[in-house]
Amino acid sequence: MNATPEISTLQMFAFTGFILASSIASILLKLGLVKDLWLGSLRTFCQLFLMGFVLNYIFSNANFFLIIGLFFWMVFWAARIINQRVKDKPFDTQWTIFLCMAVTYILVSSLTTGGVLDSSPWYKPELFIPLAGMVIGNSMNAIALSLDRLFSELRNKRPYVEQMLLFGASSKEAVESSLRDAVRTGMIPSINSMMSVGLVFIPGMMSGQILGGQDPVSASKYQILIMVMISASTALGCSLVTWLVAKRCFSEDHRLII
Amino acid sequence: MAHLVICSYSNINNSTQCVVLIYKIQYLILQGSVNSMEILIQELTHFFDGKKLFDSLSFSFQGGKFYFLRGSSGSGKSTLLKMLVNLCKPDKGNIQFSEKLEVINLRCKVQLLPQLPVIIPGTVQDNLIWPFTLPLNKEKMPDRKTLENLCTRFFPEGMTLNKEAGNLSQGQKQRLAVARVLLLDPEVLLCDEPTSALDENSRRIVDEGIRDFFLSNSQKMVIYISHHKENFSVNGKEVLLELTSRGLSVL
Repeated sequence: MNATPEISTLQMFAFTGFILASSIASILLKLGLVKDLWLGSLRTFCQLFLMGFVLNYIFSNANFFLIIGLFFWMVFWAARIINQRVKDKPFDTQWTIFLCMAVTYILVSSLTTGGVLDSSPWYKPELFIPLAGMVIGNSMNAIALSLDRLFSELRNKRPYVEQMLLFGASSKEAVESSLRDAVRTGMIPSINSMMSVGLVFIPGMMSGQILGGQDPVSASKYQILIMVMISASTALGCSLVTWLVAKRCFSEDHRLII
Repeated sequence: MAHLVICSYSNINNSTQCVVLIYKIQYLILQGSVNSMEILIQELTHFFDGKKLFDSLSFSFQGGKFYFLRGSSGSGKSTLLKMLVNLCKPDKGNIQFSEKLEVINLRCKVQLLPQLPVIIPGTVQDNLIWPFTLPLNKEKMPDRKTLENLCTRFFPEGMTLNKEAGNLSQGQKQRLAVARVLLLDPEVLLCDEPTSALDENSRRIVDEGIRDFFLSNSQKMVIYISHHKENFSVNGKEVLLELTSRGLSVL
């Protein structure tokens, strides 16, 4: 199989035609999205190019601190984006999310690279960074959904939660059902995608590997690995984040304080 | 015995200071041993939406009294009750109970009956035993006979324990909530306008239930928020209170 042809700079600019087409659609349909569309495209161009250069540099200088630094940088932005996406939050959740994501993903990614793939060292950038990136990107949505659900549950079910407290429940007992609901909400999309993958769509990484000239069967193995990693880190990350955030919704003396 | 001393203490108010002092000490010792709940509010100050709700409010609620709490809407009656069960924290000041207990154990002895009943999906029985599914109350789980008796008492029109609670009328739901809170047999019952949204029949049953609870034991305390002028009599133990921005005053 042949490797994919290199994309030239000129061809790159030709792609702006696609953005132009979607802008025209936006203007015609009065969607009011033109500004965001261009800003989004510009950011995609810049961020990905920058990422390409950074990765190039890191791959040629495989320094542990550099790699972990990049990992934290990615998690930092993920946490920031999630924090912004959660509506009506009673307090800032960015650092709680950051902490949970960092711990979960280091654990899942390092177990995968060092344990399953037997790469040495476990932080070998060619494996660790792309895998971590995919896991972070895919579970971001789940965490945002979970937190959104947790806050709306606590708000809508306030009389219920407070009645539990009045009956002598601890805050842990009172929040249990809301917590379960929140984690379930976050996990459903990743379970759904495990159900439909391969039947409905060819996932991004597998397509990428096939485009890059890999054997589809070997590409599918990597995809399976990634899907399992994503569901594991989603389950762990969502549970950890919602649990810690739910704890912050109550005072030490079992009072709902949001 | 305790009552005897308390009565004699109030009768000798005009005697010499020394005698009063001796009785006072005796009274305090006995007060502790009879285990009647006392709630002491000290210098409570609280803001709500930028408005000063309480300005160093102080009061002492005694066991064995039935307090009717009045006040214009927005005067903070509900907030005050919520503070007593620690669902709301005052900005300043503190609330002390004669019994020193952890907040969870305290909440079991001091129950708040909200204006709108919280009914969980399930049957009437599921709702009645809901508090007893918690680890703290597990041992006090009532038997079926008790539940059936309670059912006949609060639903004279007829009710079965396995009826879907979600299908009950508003009045029936509130009666269910009252029956449930009485099952816990608290020492202090705080009622936040429990009958304001009810029909005449339900109101009578709810008020009777609360009254019978109060009279079941001479140490019980009830604080009852009511907008209605007509308050029921509870053997002369009733105290009429008004909450204004200046504080709590006995009417």
